[in-house]
Amino acid sequence: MRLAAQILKYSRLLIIAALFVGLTLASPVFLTGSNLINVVRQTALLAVLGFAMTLVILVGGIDLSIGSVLALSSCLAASYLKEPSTIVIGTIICLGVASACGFLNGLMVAKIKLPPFIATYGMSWMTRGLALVFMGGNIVYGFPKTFRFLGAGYMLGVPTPIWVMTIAFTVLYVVLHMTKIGRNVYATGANKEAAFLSGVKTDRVVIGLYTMAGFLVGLGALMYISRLNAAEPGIGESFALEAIAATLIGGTPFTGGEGGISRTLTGAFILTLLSNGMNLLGVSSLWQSAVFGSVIIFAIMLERISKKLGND
Amino acid sequence: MKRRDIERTAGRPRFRVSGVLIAIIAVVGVFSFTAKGFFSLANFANIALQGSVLFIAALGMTLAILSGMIDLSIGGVMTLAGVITALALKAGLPPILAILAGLAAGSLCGAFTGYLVSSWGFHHWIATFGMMGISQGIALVVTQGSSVSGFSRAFRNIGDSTIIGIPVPVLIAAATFAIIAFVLYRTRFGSNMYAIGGSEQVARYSGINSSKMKLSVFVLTGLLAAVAGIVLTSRMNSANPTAGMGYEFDSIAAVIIGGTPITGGRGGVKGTFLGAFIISILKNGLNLVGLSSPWQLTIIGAMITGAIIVDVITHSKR
Amino acid sequence: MDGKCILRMCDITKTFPGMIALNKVCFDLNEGEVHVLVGENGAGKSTLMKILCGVYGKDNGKINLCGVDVEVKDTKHAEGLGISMIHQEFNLLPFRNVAQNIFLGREPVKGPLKVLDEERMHKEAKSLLLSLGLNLDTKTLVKELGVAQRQMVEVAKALSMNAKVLIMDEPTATLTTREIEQLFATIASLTNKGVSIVYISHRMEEIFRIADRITVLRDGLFVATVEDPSSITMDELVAMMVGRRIEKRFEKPPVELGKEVLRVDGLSSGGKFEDISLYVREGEIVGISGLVGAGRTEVARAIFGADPKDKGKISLFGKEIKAGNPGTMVSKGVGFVPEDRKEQGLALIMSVKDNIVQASLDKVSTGPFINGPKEKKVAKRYVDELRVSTPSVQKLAKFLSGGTQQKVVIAKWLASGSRVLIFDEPTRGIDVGAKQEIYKIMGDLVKDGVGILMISSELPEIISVCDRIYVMHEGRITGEVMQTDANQELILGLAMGKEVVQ
Repeated sequence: MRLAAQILKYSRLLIIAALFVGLTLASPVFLTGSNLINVVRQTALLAVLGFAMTLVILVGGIDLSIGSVLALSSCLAASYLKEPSTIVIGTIICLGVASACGFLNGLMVAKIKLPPFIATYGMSWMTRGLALVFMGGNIVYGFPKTFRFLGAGYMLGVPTPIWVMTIAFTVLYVVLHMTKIGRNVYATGANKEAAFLSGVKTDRVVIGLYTMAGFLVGLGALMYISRLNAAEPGIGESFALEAIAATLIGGTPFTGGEGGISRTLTGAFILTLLSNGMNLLGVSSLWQSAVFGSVIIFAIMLERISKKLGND
Repeated sequence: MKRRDIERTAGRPRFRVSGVLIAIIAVVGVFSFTAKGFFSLANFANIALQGSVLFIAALGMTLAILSGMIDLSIGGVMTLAGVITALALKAGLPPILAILAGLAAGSLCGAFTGYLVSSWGFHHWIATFGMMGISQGIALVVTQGSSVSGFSRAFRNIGDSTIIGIPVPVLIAAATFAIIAFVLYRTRFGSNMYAIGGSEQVARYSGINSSKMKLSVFVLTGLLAAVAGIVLTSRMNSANPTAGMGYEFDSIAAVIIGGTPITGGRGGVKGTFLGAFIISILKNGLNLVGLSSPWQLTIIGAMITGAIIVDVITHSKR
Repeated sequence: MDGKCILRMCDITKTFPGMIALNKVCFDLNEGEVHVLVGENGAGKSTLMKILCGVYGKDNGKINLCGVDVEVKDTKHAEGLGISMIHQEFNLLPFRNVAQNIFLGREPVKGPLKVLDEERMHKEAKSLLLSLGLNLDTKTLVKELGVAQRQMVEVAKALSMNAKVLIMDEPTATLTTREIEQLFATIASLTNKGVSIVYISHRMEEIFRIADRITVLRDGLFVATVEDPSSITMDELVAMMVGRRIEKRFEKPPVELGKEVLRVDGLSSGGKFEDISLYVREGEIVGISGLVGAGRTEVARAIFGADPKDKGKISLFGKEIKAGNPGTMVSKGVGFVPEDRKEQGLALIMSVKDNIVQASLDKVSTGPFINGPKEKKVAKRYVDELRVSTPSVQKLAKFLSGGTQQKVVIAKWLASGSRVLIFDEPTRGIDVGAKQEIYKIMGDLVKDGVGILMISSELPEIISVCDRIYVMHEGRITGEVMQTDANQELILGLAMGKEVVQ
């Protein structure tokens, strides 16, 4: 029992180690510089989206709308991002639209008291629809170099998305773990009623987190379309699934108040290794959604088992 | 005192249903004037055809919601069941066996979700969300991402033939409705569904095995999704690996508009009929007035969110 | 009325972690009688009855039903034996109709397909209700019914299972006078049919009206069974309930009472409480006494801004507070130690340190940043001051004992520098030693000029700790008693709605 508990405690590291060893043996390409850089670059985007998901899961919520919000904010901003002179406006629109969607999610959850998955699921269909309507079947592609730098460029020899992710991580980490705001977030997630009775304005915390999650999705949108060099309304269909999978396999439980973005970073890395490995081994990308769905279920089972062992 | 009590009881549901009826009449009226070809027999037959598939799927969603749960995997399971049936037909199986294979696939998905919920204590919606990914994914994998089409006449009869002038899908929907309504309203099993949705604690005190109930409900929703998926496949003469996408959303809309609140414990499949009907009319009409499917997504997305908001607000005031 | 004895409970003992709930209690019941069970909060009435109907198992003792020894396994089993309990919170589904609720899980079916036999179900439900004197349409949804009618439906449900013993736990708590009459008529007709009723109540007048016999419990012990209620007076009954315990649990240090820190005028909240006025002075411990359900916690939460109020004024330090919410109240120096530590007082999955500084983050922060060492120092200081027994301030709150957890909650408010503290049942479920420590902390607080408002259900506690006691009964303050005048009989009488001529 003891041993099992220990193994579970370090299960994430074990999974990563196993994936590394397995993939190195199975594919000669895996342990090459370019592939590893690729893995890290993909991790960056998933991590940013995972951070968004983690924020709302920390207070017992969920955001199923991140893929669609990402699509809507990219589509609305795309035409501005295409002109070098209006990139700043485009960036503001993208981040603003995504934050506004997050804010609305927060209002529905905190004030109207809709179940989070229902509120954000409704939001996901509305925003997806709006994105499609706005684009009217068109695609915006071919962004200027200055914008492409964000998703495809390098800074000091390191891919820009990694810089972006690192900055987002650092800021969030500092806010969550070193400030009053962060403490109130964890307190709200751990026991909303107790936090409320300690004077925490819990509704504001919840709305703030959904808004922040929206902002991060906007950031993810910029990173994604810059890398893709195109914006179209169908993008990001599977992002909610992936972000939830990254959060849960990273070890932030659904119940709220525990875990955090460093775990999600690990989770995003595991997932990216997994899909990279599938790629290298010639497994069709069609497997992805089935794999992510299974990862979610596996992650929750893992958590349930380790809770049980921990209590014995 | 007594009389007033009765009137009050009867009053509310009737108001609710009549509200939906008025909405239907209004929508029909608007489209009759604005949409060319809306007010025609051919188009109504078309609405009934489209509505049948949604209605069957929404019946399953109704059972889930009134039992206090939700099933986000309905669309994925529909797709998977359709694809399995199609592949079985392509492999040369007789239609009846192919259909059974599809139904089995749907029930298995439901059973797995139900197992996660009742034995592992998963939140119903995360279990079904995971299942949505899995079923959708398997459908993509087994079809290599492309449609499977071109079936024998015998199988296509399900989707495009008529019996005494009524399209077969409509008959299937009617039969499914009759069976589900019977189970729901006339058996202990149905009564127990209301009980676990109303209060699991009260249900348990009354000796109802709630985890067994949950498992059964998910098997049923999986089975119904499979029926819907197979009818859709036959009607389209093709199994598209994304065919069911969005049906879970339309089903939730149909259920809520039909007067079964997400809080569980009440409502029923009769209202869902009207709910599915109104959504089908709306989609059809929007199509005919030239509002493309993206607009439909937005409008129906806003509608369902609005309906849920109204629903939650009115119930929290009690 | 003197039927034969159908139920005999002997030497029933039940312990919960840290306390003995019942100690060799005996209780018997005759056929067709109304046997009233009385006692203070926590005397063991509900526990005894929950053992009888299978909610709890007993540690020791015997239950003999109609001459046969039985072991009640669960509620289902109890119902099979003919024992049903009507709970204070109803076990009904609001959106199902009357007949469906009565027969839930046991619906009559017919035919090979086991189709529900609605006709029979409604007919049987109807006749059950008629036998209770209630002409109600069985197709009415339960949510449309008033409280009294719901109770009748519960009774009908019990009768449909052929109940011989019916336990009613404060059935009149939420009924109007007319509805109570109706209930009593029903009880009379039930006893005429030979059903025996165990009736738990706090209301003096009704106890004397309907009781054939009265059994008194106190602190988990059997006190007496009164064979003839007309032979004793209300005062005598109250005296039996409180006993003759003279224990001074706590010496409050002599404190000069200062200015008013908290004043509440005419506070009302629809249906929960009405026209509550009270005040607390610097250095004063003010108690709110009353029975469970009297509305004490609701008043405290409304004062703290946790629940909205309909009417009334709340002033702190002489200034009126307009729109109160916990955030503003905390910043103005009010603290609230809630009744349920685990659900409302603590974040169990967070550390002792995090819990202690939760209400005073501003004090341990520099700008937006929490100052780690400072935070630790503050937490350590209060851990030492209150002697919170924890190996380190990093320990998660869930691993601490009940008394220690309570100290952590109190430490939170000390750290935030509260000048007004509201305690809701601060010593519930805490062992004797820890209780003493908590009283001592309260004493130290008032010495510093803090004003304390304390809710407690324990009479000896509230009498020995508080300077002044408000007594509530059914949402209203029925009396204000100074410590010097206070005795258990007086307060319990007020709490039970006994008129007191002053």
